[in-house]
Amino acid sequence: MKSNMIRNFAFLMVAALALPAFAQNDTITMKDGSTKNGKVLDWSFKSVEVAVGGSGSTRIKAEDVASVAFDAVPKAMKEADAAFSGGRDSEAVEKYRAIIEDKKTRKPLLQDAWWKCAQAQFRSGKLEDAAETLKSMLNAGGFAESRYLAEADDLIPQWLIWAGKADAAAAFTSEEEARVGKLGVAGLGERLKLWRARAWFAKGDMGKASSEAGTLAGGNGVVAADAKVVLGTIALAGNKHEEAERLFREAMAVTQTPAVRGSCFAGLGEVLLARALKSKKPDDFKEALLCYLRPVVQYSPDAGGDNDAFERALYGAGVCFQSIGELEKDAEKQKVSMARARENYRKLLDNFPNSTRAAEARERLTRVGG
Amino acid sequence: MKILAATLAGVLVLGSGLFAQGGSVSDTVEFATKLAAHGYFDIAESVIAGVQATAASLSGPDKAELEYALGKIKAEQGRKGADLMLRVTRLTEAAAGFEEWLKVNGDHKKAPELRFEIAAIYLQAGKTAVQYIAKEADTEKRNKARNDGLKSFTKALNLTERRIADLQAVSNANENEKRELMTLRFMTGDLNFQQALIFENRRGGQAQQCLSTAKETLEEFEMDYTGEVLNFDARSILAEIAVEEGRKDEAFELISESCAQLLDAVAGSPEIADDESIRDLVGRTFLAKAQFERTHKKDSTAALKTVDTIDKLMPSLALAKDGREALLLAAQISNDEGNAGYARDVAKRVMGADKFGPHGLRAQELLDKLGGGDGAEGLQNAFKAALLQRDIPRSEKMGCRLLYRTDTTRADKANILYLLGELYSETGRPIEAAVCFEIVSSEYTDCKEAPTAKLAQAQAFATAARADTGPFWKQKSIAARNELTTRFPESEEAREVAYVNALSLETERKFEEAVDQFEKVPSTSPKHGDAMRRAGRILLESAIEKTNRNQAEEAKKLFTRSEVNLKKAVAALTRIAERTLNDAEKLRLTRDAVATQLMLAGLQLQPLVKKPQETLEALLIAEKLAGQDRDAIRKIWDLRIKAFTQMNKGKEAGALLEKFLAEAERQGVKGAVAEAALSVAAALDNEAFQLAAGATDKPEANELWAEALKFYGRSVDEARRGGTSKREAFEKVASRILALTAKAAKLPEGLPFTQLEPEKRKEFIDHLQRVLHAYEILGATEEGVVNVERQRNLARIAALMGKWSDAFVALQAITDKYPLYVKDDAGNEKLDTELLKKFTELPGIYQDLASCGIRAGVATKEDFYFERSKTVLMQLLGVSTSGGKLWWECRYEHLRALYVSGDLANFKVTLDSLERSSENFDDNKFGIKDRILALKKQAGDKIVNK
Repeated sequence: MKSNMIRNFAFLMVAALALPAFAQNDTITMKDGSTKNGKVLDWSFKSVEVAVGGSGSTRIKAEDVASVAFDAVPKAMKEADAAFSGGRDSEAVEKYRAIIEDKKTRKPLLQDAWWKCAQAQFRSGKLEDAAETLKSMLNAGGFAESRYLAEADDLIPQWLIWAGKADAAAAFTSEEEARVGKLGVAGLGERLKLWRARAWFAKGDMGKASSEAGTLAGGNGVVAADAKVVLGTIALAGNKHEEAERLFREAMAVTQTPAVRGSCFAGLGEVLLARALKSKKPDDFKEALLCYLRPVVQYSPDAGGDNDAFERALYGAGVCFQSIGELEKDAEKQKVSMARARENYRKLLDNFPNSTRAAEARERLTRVGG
Repeated sequence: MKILAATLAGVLVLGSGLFAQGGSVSDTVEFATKLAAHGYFDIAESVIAGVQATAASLSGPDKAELEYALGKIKAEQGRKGADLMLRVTRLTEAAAGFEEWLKVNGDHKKAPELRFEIAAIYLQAGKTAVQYIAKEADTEKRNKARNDGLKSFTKALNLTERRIADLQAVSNANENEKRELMTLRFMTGDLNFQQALIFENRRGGQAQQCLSTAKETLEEFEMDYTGEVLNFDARSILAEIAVEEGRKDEAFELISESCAQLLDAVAGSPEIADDESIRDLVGRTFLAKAQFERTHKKDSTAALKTVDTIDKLMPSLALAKDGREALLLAAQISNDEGNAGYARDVAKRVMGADKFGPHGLRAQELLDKLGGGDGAEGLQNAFKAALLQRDIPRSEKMGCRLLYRTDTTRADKANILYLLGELYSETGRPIEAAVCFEIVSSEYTDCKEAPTAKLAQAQAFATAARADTGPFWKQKSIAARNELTTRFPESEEAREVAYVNALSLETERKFEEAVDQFEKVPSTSPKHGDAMRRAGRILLESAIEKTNRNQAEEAKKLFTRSEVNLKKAVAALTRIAERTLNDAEKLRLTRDAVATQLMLAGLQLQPLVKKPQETLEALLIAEKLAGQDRDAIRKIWDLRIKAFTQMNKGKEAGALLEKFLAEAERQGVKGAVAEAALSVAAALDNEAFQLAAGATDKPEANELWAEALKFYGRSVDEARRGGTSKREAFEKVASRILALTAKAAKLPEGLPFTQLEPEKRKEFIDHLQRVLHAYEILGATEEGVVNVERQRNLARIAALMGKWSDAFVALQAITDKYPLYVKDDAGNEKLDTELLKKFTELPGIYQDLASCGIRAGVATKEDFYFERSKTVLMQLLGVSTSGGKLWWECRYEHLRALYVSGDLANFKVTLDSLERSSENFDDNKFGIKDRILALKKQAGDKIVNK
């Protein structure tokens, strides 16, 4: 034991002495606010590897690192970053591709080039290409343990599903689940299963989606909440409203994640709206409306996020306002409700002209006076 | 923050319709705040009020948080809106609410900042009142506003002074406290100044007092906070005070000092102009100086120089609102001085910075005046700006300028007129709007706006008709719609118009008119399929209603018309679905097509239509369209079985069902299987009944009944497994299973209470259990309610299984509920003749009870059963006609009861008495004589010995 301690201490001494020699290199800012300097050799989801001495290196836990400012960033990278932050996505993709091809690029910068290239592709609407880039980063790119692993494992299936490639998304999650299982990353396997459930759902295979999500829905974690949302949505699609309502409520009870809560409220809105359309009672429409307004005003999606719940909620809020207006006897209140219905339909049509609800919104908008 | 208890959710349902929300108080507050930020103030307030309604369940801090949020929402609402006095009211209410809140929650962590907030709200209310007074002509209203404003200022001052005293007493104030103190001290000066402005006579004592205090306070502030941004604002107010007091030079000096400092600051650090608040401050201050120079000093050249100096040093001046105002002033002066070139340049820059805004519009107007505003782009921008501001005169002016330009294309002219029409529509001038739309739709028929304009014209006339209820505008609206369909028959709008008309008629429940309109939607319209579907559905519902009212002829006509429409709908929906590239739309259209096809199939099965063969064909098409849609497939099978049933092809239906069940099993489909099995069973049962034609034992009929029994059983099994939507049908199912079991067991008809041989019990036990399962599906009857048929069936099953005491108990439930004798007012028992009139089967049930009782007595050796049976039989003798069938049966049963219970003495006495009164008993009219004699013979020696 004692000899080990001495060895560790000696190692640290060497590292400390060695650092000044690399002081011209990168600045690593730790989460506690302190900084370290050194040449970053690699950055995985586990650790940041920093060069020490002539050929040695030390590793800092990735979870302790807040950011790294790279020293002497090559001009090509700076230009690519400028195109990326300036919103010139096609140009950015080309430039990042060139950096990826350049064998001299430093490994941590190369990883960033892969990542940003995928982001630029996504922003320019090339979802499948973006997903492929991230897959390449994890496989052929040599970043099997990338620092972006968790994000990539979420984005790849999401982008593939949005691109209408649910089969590919499901296949990816299976392969990736096996791969990350060997890496021993906690929680990733479950998230991949969840994405597989979503992929089956997108494909319309409710049986498989339900069975996959069902294995995750136990417990009180975020994944369980997400799985319940998937199950709730399946129940909703099958007109099992009571079951859907129960699942959405259970999911909301265990999560504060805005996106998940937004989905739950949109789902609940649909359950309650169906009920209201049967009862035709203003109070029932008001209940549904309050649910729909949650995603509209409180849980609106981030840029690049999933807009589905938001779109459904905008449409649903429009329908509720319209119905409340139609049932309202006070002319002034009716006017306000109809104006709000129009406002929500227009917002949907202006922002999401290709939404699945666009045609219905357009039709309803005509009915409430354009 | 604590989570609201589950019980709270229940209360919320009643209180506010919030049960779907739940969540924590802080979550509710966040939601309400966001609603308010989106302008849904009323909903935000109701969300908070809903939770407040459950005050008893809320903790103190939660209540405080909710009230605080409500105040914030009210204050936010008070800052918005066009009605200035309404804003004053709301702001005052919000501040008063907060004051109340503070009384209860003085120690709350938000209390200090709230004192500042309340003062700021009162200040805002006062300022708004000042704005109102400046615009209002009515003296009375002005006076009221003045009073309200003064009250607000006084309250704000009190709060500010108290908070200042508190903060000044803090020995080691932190940065936040220091900043708050600074802001409050500035606010005190501002408050006094604003209070002075509320008086029309600024020379009066009150106004002068306010001005003096404001001056003193702000001068102190200026000394204490040199270099702070707020100091510039303090100096601006001091300058305004100086102007009010006639010290114009002093005012100018103060403004000039501010300008000089800002000029130095911008020259030293140009990047400070990147900050929006600094840019606004610079714009504001230099505008004030330039205006002062022009207005008070009458030195336009100096004003121009002031603006030009800062403009050159800070090119982003045009980005600030007051900066643009200053630039426009400079342009105006420059033009007045004959330097039109400079004025044009400046105006163009302002236009560029505020393309569609009010300054851009004024810049365009200036350019027009200067002679450089003829550029089409500038005019178009100004037109758009005027439209955006709903500024009708300017929109008209700019629009007309564009219309008269020779280089404006026809398409652009149509667009301008259309936009003007929209503006009139939105600003409540539908008739002017209609004129614009008319020009577009008649003069610019080749432009894309033409059909839209015609539709908009119809809507504008409809709006006018709502305001003026006479027929004139309504007729104009109808005429415009008709013109649309004749003048632009191929336009999207023409296709839409009939459809839109129909939808609104449907909403108004004017179904006949709606159908007429739906039928007018041309086959080329994308809405054709949907229109035909809707028309078909309305007609079908109407036809069914007529059928129920026995108006067969009318119903038949409606069925025919509905069928035609539904067929057209299927064809159109399928065609459009095939053509569409949008997957989601394709799916929707296909689903609609399948649903319509199923509606059609259902129609063809209606008793007044009866086209089962066509139904089967329609279902083939539906099946093809449905693809993997399980719900649709289930409905298709159900309808198919019904079609076979209608064709009296029960066996085929059965075979189909087997196929369906296998398919359902494979796909895991549940639910509808039970109904399908039930349909088949009913079909077979019916077919067997017709085949038997009254014969009791016809082999072909028996074969069908055996099949029916199988499918009735299956329906019970499937309903238990996968649920059913036809629960109520299982009452009949239970009875039929029991009856068909009896038939299969070859039990004699008319002898309900009999016992199966042990071997037969094994054979039929499953069927009997299914009867019980059917009752399980139905669920228990409500407490106090007796289902007579069910109880009798339960008794029959028990009897078949040889469980006579169970049978007795089942029947006793009926007789307990319906006693034959009731007590009259005098307490004497008397026969309930009213009941017997209504419930003619009751004596038979009592007879069955006695019969079961005798058997139960034999089986259990308990006297209770014999005694009860004998009593019942004696009661029945009183009910029945002497010498009738029931009477003789009761006599026999009574004798039997006496005999089997071992009461031989009474048996002998009763028998002797009976023989004496009727020597030949019933003469075997009811088969009783032989039975009594057989009993007598059986008793034989035992009686003699007795």
